[in-house]
Amino acid sequence: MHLTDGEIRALLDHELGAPEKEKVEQHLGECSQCRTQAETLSERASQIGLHLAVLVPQPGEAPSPANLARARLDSRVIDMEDKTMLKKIFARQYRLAWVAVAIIAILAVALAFPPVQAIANSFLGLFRVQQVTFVQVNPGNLPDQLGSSSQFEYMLSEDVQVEDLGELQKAADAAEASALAGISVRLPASIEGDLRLEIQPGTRASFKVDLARVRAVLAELGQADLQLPDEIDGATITLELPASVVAAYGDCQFDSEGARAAGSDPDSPTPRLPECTTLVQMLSPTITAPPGLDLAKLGEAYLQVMGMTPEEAARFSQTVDWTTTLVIPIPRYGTDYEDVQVDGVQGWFIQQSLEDHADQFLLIWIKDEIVYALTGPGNISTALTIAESLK
Amino acid sequence: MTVRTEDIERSSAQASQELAQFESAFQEHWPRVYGVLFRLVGDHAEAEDLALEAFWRLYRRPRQASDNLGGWLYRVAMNLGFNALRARKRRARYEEQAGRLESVSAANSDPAETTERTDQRARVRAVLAQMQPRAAQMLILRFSGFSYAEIAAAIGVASSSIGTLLARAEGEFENIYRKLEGE
Repeated sequence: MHLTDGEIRALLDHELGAPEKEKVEQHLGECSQCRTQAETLSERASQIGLHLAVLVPQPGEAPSPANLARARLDSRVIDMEDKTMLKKIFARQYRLAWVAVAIIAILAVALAFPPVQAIANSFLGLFRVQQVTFVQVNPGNLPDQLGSSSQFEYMLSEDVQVEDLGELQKAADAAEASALAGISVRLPASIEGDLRLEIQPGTRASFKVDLARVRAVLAELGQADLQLPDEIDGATITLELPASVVAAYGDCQFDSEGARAAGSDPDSPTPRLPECTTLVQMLSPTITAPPGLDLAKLGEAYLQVMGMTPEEAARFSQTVDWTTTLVIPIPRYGTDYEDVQVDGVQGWFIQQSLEDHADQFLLIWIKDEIVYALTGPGNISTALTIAESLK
Repeated sequence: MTVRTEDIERSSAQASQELAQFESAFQEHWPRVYGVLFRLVGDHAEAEDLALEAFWRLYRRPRQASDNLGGWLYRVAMNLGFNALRARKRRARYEEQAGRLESVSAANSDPAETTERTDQRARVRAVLAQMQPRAAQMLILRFSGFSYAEIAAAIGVASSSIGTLLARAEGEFENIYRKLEGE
């Protein structure tokens, strides 16, 4: 009965408890075959030790002192917060609720305060989102208030009420989905996997404006000179997002009911992503803006809050038609994006490399007033192939 | 869904205890986490970046009752390291396909590296890259001075298995090394 390689190896590393060590050493004294094997293993371990020793950091490659590294970690926390935010946008189970709140939040910031339905009558400036554009922001410049969705809502008021305007419904095909959702639903012809088609009800978000709080926060964000009419104080502000159609292909174990019930809490741990490609389509949100609002100025303020310098913000603001364009900030750190031609219009492609999972993409475009968001594993050609096959 | 201010404030006593634990873990493990990652990726800046990422995840990780902090930390670090290597390989492949062949070792401009050392390191990493990931991890950890108990915690196996797994890993390394040298 000879020694196993494991026992010999452990002995060589002095990792055997006393009784076992004694047993093994005794056997080695008596068994030449095992002694030979022990020599072989020992030789080999030394050789490999020498090989791996070349990987050891040399004096010029030593790590930074721990205190310095710790300080760097601090300044990266804000950077990382945004990476988490983007990652959560890709998390299958929370994406839809999160996207709804993100759109609400972004629109709220874009307009300095969200559309007012309950306030008086002379509202002009109705516009419908026709375009989406992305702007890279330096997450290090973002103030803490924008670090998480719950904090952001806190910034606006004590209580934000979000309610579903209807029930989740399932559909068997595009025709049925179109009837239920009230839009002309298109589905990709070239895609693999079982289809699961659901109609997510529209969402209404409402809260009461606490003007003193909004002004205080804007002041803190360096936007104190933004003019906000007094009459919006105490008003109930409501934003409605239309129903959306979600077509999920493949292994999509997401419980959309559970996700919506759990609420839009992107601070929950991200669940494992299934091999799932999803197409979301939604009538683009409509925003009612009060008159007398200089949208370009507001847009500039918004961009400055997102970290652009006043000059950059002014320049960028000129290039955007704020009455029809939704400007979405994305963190510069670790994200690739580009504008692409898709479905006959200009869209945006974002690639995210995630540990543990295949690369995920997000392709977003607006055509005929419908917002399309396609996400799943793959690269740009995967995304465009699917998008171009929409019928 | 209603957001209340209480939800946002955590109990401050709990928070400061967790922070103290994190701080001491950082001081204790920073050099070793860096060391493990440096052996994997071979680049000072990248190793520090990945090490900070590992610690950031530790910082964000919800506390669990049975905490194996050290094991978890090194497991995360190794995953990050291997993913970085895979991403690097993918990038190299894409660039190759695009006709822009870029030598990975040429991109590494650490002054402490001599050409000879660069070649040696490239050879060893090439072998590690071809091994089963767990076996490669085992070698890196062992030859970074981790005890069997520490390796077991990081890899997630019983410490009584380490001897056997290590011997096997060394066998695998030797075979692949010989094969690559023979080419």
